[in-house]
Amino acid sequence: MIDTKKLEKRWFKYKFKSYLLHLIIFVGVIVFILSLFIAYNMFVEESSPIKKAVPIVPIKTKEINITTEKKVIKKIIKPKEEEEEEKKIIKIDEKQLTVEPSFNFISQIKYDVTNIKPEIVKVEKKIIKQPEVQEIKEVKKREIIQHHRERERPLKIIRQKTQQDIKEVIKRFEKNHNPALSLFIARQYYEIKEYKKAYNYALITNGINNDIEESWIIFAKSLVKLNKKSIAIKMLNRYIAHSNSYRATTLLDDIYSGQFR
Amino acid sequence: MDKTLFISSKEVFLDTVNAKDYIELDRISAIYQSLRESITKPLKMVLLYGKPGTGKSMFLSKLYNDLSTSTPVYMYKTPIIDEIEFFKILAQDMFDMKYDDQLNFTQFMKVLNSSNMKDTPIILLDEAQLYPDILMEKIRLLSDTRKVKFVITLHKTEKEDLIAKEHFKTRIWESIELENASSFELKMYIQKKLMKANCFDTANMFDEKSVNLIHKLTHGNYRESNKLIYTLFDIYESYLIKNSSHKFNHNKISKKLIEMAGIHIGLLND
Repeated sequence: MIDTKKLEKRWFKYKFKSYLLHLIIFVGVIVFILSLFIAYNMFVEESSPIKKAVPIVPIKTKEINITTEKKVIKKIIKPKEEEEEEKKIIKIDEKQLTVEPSFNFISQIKYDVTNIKPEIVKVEKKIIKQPEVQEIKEVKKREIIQHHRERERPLKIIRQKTQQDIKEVIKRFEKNHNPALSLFIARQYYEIKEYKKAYNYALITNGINNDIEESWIIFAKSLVKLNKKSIAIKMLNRYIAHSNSYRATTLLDDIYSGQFR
Repeated sequence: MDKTLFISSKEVFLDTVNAKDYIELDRISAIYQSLRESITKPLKMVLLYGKPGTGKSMFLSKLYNDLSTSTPVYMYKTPIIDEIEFFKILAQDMFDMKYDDQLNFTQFMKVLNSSNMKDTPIILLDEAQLYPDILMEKIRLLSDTRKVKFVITLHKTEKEDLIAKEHFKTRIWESIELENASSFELKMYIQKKLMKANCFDTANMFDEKSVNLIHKLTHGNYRESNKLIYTLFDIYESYLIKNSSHKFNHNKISKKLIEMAGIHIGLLND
């Protein structure tokens, strides 16, 4: 007769071994998949063209343009007193001139985007404050095709096939507050005619770095598209006064002449 | 369930070679029929080969059982290694003579040539791979006389293939290979074997899953399967004796007990 107790013990031992083997294989597979996933993410992060484009070269302006710009400004927009006052401010300490966007818009933006008031835009001593605007949080997916960013520093964006990618860029921006990313988002939203969102992200970009010409251009263009032409003109004027940007001047001309609507 | 049922079921799978225990399965029946037909043709030798436990000995027993009533047939299950002894036993069986003195190959050939037999006697040699090479060579010469037919079984290993090549290359009229059972064949084999012994309840306990597990452990080898199932019923019996059989479902074979049987006979390593 077979000793069943002894045999059962051997059977439990056998079962334990067989399950252990399965468990080891399972854990091994999980670890392998996880490591692959992590490695892939790291690779994507490192090879992202946007990340490489983080440093932004200060805007260089040509003297020839500046003179023409100034002329235009004087003729068309500014009252002399105001202009002189601003020039004085800039002369006093040009380095201290900063354009600071108010981030309060993030908490207030939920209520009404159209509540943008021109009165909010004020020049207080050496600081140009931007209007507080609510942020529209909805993010629509879109395929992204981007070939260049700036003339000085081309930014290559790899073609992505899912609209999820713009969300991913937003997530990345939320992590590192890189103005290159927010500018990228603003540009993409502007291209897909999401002007409110484009405006928001241009505003954020200006808040982080107020020397990015393209961000100001998108900011102004978005305002025009949102029927805030007067604000756009005001903001452009202030920016041109600060930077002597040729592109901003051209855009301003286009807005005045009605070529850009 | 009655303890005696497990005991009688267990005995069905005792590892013995008995023609009465032969189970007819489609493929095996076809092979056997082919062997029977080969016997009726003028032949020198028939080689029956396959891995151990594929049923070669059973085939030979069945053949002997079927032919013995109509044909002079002599079966040697255990190899006779000594040459003198071999021819002496052969002469005694075939010609009903007693040789007190030694009988060598030449003397046996003389006896064979002088004999006047109506039917060609058939000599069945099991486990032929155990015969010495010199003796095998003489068996080959005997078959060349066409006075006697040989049906021999060989294990299929590298060594035995070599024997087959060297000794029977030009003489084998037909060679038949026996293989392990498929899962379906194994199920039929188990159930037919049990039903033949009126163990219907235990026969119904073997469903596809349990037979597949047995097949996985034994690779369909008849000898291994017999050993495993014998041990399986032995375990059932042990549980019944200890009144702890309630642990198991009696409508089907327990997977755990199959694995325990596998561990017990060394098919599984604990």
